[in-house]
Order: sequence, then structure tokens, then C-alpha cells
Amino acid sequence: MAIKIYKLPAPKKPVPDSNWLKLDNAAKIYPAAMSRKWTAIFRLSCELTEEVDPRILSAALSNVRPRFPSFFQKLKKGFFWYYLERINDIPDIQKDVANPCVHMDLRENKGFMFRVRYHNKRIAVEFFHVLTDGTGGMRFLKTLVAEYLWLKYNAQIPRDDEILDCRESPSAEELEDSFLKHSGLVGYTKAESTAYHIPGTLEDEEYLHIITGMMPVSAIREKAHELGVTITEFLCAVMLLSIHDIQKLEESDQRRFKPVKISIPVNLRKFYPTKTLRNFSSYVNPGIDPKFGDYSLREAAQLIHHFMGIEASEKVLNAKFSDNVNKEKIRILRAAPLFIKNPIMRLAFRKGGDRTTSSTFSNLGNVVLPPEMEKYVTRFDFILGPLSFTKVKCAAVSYRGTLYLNFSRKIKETAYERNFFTRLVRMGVHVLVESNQPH
Amino acid sequence: MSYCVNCGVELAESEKRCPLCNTIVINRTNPWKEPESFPYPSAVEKPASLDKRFIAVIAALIALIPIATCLIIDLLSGSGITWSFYVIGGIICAYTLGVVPVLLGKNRYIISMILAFLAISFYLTYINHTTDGHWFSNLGFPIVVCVFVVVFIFLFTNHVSKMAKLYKAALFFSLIGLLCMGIEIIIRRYLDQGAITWSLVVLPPCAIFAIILIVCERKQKIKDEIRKKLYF
Repeated sequence: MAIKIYKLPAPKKPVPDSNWLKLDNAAKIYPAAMSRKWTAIFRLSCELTEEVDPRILSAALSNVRPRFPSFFQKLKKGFFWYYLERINDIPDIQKDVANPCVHMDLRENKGFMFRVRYHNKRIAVEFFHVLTDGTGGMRFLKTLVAEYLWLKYNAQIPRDDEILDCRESPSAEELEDSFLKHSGLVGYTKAESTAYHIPGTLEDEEYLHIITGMMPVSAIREKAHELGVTITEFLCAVMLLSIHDIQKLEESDQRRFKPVKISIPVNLRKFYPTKTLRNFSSYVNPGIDPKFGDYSLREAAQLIHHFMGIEASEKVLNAKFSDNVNKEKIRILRAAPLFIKNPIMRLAFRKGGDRTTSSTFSNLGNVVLPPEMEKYVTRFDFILGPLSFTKVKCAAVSYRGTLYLNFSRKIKETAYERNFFTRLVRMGVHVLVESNQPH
Repeated sequence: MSYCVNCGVELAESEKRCPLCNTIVINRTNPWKEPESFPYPSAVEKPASLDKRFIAVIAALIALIPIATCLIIDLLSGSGITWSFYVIGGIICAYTLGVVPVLLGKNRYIISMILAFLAISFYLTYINHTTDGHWFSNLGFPIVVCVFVVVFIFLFTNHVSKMAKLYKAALFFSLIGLLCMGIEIIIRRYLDQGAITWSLVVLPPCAIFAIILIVCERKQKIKDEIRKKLYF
């Protein structure tokens, strides 16, 4: 079969003709924080109705390349900051492995900071967070799959802001650092207490356990509405109580209980008119302080709901990321060479970072595809890579009425996931479970 | 379709045992059969890591340069191997202290310590012997034993117990104080001198600091206050 490759028309609104890009404000911390064993990685994947053809997938990736210039970059060291340098190539398509989100060696894979993998009917893309966030990654995956389906089945899939038209040129808006564009004058930051961390026996450094729970969105929505909260808030409440169940077994003295908090990324695109494909998300850390007594599910859910009402508002989030932007603008900091900035940023990441949360829960929401594409795609998954203190993380995505919850963990023990899923089962929610445990 | 009898979740076709509680699926009406495909392949990706053996070999080769240079110069002087053995012994001691522990890894720290102890002891014995000294049995060896016992206690406690960080720091300071005292006792016995002096200056601050750390660890409010004040 002949592979169709687009010829791009002359660009309408060309992006600046430069072969390098500055890192966006959120991305700046990741190169400094990465180590020989750890890079901040997340993975998005989808399953098709038929086996994936790697040759066609590679051709689809070639088609996607001109439309997503900010993805086909390598990380380079400047004197003052890291920067991204364009690569005029595409990464090799790789076979999938049992351990997703394994550490990314930036000297391999031609220097690309994402990898495209396939296994049976699944296409997966793993991103280093320097490139993009979950929303940008999902747009990349959907566009890649749309191109694949066009090449394989000649599927005519309508394009929009979610599934980009690869025949169009990229716009400058898609490459902008929206943090800089939308930051305000006044920044805000608050000290947070250290949270309870799930204990456990660390697994081999390269291995990440995945447990996927599949459940009807309608059942979860019904339970959430009973409590007057959103799906994310409801699931977060169940997670908090599930983590605290572990703490209760470990510590008998209530006065010594630590706060249980979950970091929830918030997509800033819903507050600002932006088309950026780069990082543009913030986070909030709702939680409970069990020192004050046991929380019922309703109490925890209401607490999170009201917390989110304040903390996940546009003004507070703006002040939060403006603080980071303002720090970046401090002249003395900018003038410091990278070799001085790097250890300071690394220390800041380790002192703050995920120390203040017990786990992370990222919900990408409901994925809606046009009917022309939906008939070929059966499932989506979202997996978060490991962090240093939060040994178990959870990511969710909904598609065609099913919620796919992926728990990724660096420890052998499954207490958190078990507490979580059994709580849902006791509420009457049907949960189907699969994993990456060895065959 | 099979359900876990412990957790109540339905298990996907690929699951031979419940991934949440490890209970094996026993479903007489629908026994587990290996599916045509699993959700994940069996191949595990191992990221490239530093080859410790390679590093050890390189370190050994680099160490050969001063060894060979000193040996040649010493031999050229015409009186056989004399002073160069001090250099060679020193390098071997440094190798057992710096490279061998990396090579053996954290879990085999006892073997690393035994090797380092033997290397240093033999080195000091040799110096004592060649210089016609009488200090090894009464001074050198007891100090080496003292230092290794303290290091062993610290490493062993760190390795075995899940001690809080501030308790570990308290143990560290206590051991430093005791080590100083032990070294001074050995020196004074060797010199046939009287009561201990300078180690008494070191011991009380170390002990007080250790007590402060223990109190801080036990008082959640103090810990929180320190965290708050030191937050940046």
C-alpha cells in the first residue's frame, strides 16, 4: 500500500522561523529536577479495532510532524536556561513494553522527548512533561490516530482544535507560553504542610505497576451527584479515605495523623482563550486532616468541593502561576548561569515538589471523537509516571461511557488501589480490573 | 467472567490472579485460559544504567598510573621498593574505601566494611613494621576498630530500622561524641597520660544536640514550626 504524505500549502500565519524554542514556565523545573533514574513522564494511549501497522504509524507520525513543531525537539543546555532545538526527523516507532513510563534517556531515541509505541491494537505515546501537559498530549495523540486512520482506511475525519488539520500550518498561538501571556501582576504562594506518604516496599527502579479499573461513568456520576459534587471531587474523596485507611493501620494515635492530600492538576485552558499545545496547567491540593477525627465520604467530598471552589478559581490559579512567572522575571535569577540555577531549582523541587501531597489524581475528562473516528477507536488510557514521594498515582479518562482509571505505583503493596476499588464495589459500582502483572 | 472473592471486582480475561490481593481465580464454570493477547507485552524495558563493573575497572586502571610511576621511580633509585609501597598501599586503601562499596552496592555494606578494615589494618601494620614503630597494636589498630565500630553501628541502624530522620541525626551526633571520647582514651592510654580533656568539650554539645533532635522528633508542633520557618 502506498503511504500518503501531505505536502503543506504555503503557511497563512507562519510561526517564527527559528529552530529553537524557550521552555515554557512550567517546563523549566523538569530538566533541573530530572535525574539519571527519573524523568517526569506521562502516557496516553488508545485502542483501535484492528492490529496496529507500525509502518503506517510511522508515516502518520511524519504527517503530524509539521503541525506539531514544538514536539519534535531535543533538550539543549544554554548558558542561562535550557532550550528546545528542532529535530528534522521523527522518532522510531517502538514496540510497547510491560513497564510503561520507564525513565527516558534523552541521549537515546534521537533525542526526542516523546516515544510512540504500539502493542496489538494499541497506540501509545509517552511524553516528557517538558513538551506538553495532558491536554496537549491528548491533542497530539488524537491527531496522530486520525492521520493513521486516514492512511489506513482513508477515513475522512473532520478536524478542529482537538484533532488538528495536518494540512494547515501551525500557528504561533499553538507554540506560545500561555503562562507568560496570561500572568497577572500579583503572585501568591502558600506554605503547605507535609502530607502523609503511602508506605511500601520499593519495586525495581525500572518497573511501574499498572492497575486499570474500568467502570460505567453513569454509575460514578450518579454517586457524585448524590453527594452534590463532580466526578473528580467524588473520586478524590474516595481516594483520600482509601489512603487514610492505610494510615490508620500504621498509626494508632489520632494526634499523630498527618494530613492526607491529593494533587489535582487543573487545565488552565478552560479559563483563558488559548490554543497552546505546550504546558498550561496548574494544580490544587485538596485534602483532609484526620487529626480532627474520622471523615465520612460526604464530609470529605463536600470539603473537596468547597476547597476546589476557592482554590481552583481563575483568580487564585492566576496568582499561583503568576508567582512562578514573576520569579522567572527576577533579573538576578535570570542572570545566574544554568549551573548555579540548576541545583537551586532541583533543591526547590525536592523541598516542595510532591512532598506536600499523598498522591496525584489527574482526570482528563471525557474524550469525544467525531463518529467518523469513533468507530475505529475502542478505548483510551492515561497513565502518570512515578514521582519521588508519591509512590502511587492515578490518572483517569472517560470514553464512550466508560471511565478508565489507571493506578501507577512504584511499590509492591496494593493497599491503596484495593481500598479504593473495594470502596467503590461496596457502593454498588461495577469495576472491571486489569493490570500489567507478569504473565 | 470471574470475580475476585476478596475484592469483589471483576477480573479482565488476562488476569490469572487478582492484581489487588493476589488471590488466584478459581472459577469451575469458567476456568482461566490464557488469552490470545495480554494488555501489556512481557518484555520489560531496562533503561541504560551506569555499569558499576566498568567504573571499577576504569578506576583501577587510573589508579595504576601513580602506582606504576612511583614504582618505576623508586626502582630506578637503585635501592628496591622502599617509599613507593606507602603510595601503593594508600591507593589500595582509597580503592577499597571508595570504589569497592559502589561496586558491591548498599546491601553488601558489611563485606565492603570488612575489606576496607583489612586493607587499612594491613597498611598500618606495614608502616609500623617498616618504621620499626610500636604504635600499631596500642594506638593504630584500636583507633581503626573504634572508627569501624561506630560506622558499622550507624550503617546497620540505617539499614535495618525505619528510624525517623531526626532520630538518625541524633544517633549520628551521639556516635560522633562517643567516637571522639574513644579516640582520646586510646591516645591517652598510649601516651600514658591522665584523664580525658578535649573529648569532653565535644561530647556535651553532641549529646545536647542529639537530645534536642529527639525532642523535636517527638513534638509534632515543633517539627511543623521548623518546617514552616525553613520553608522557601
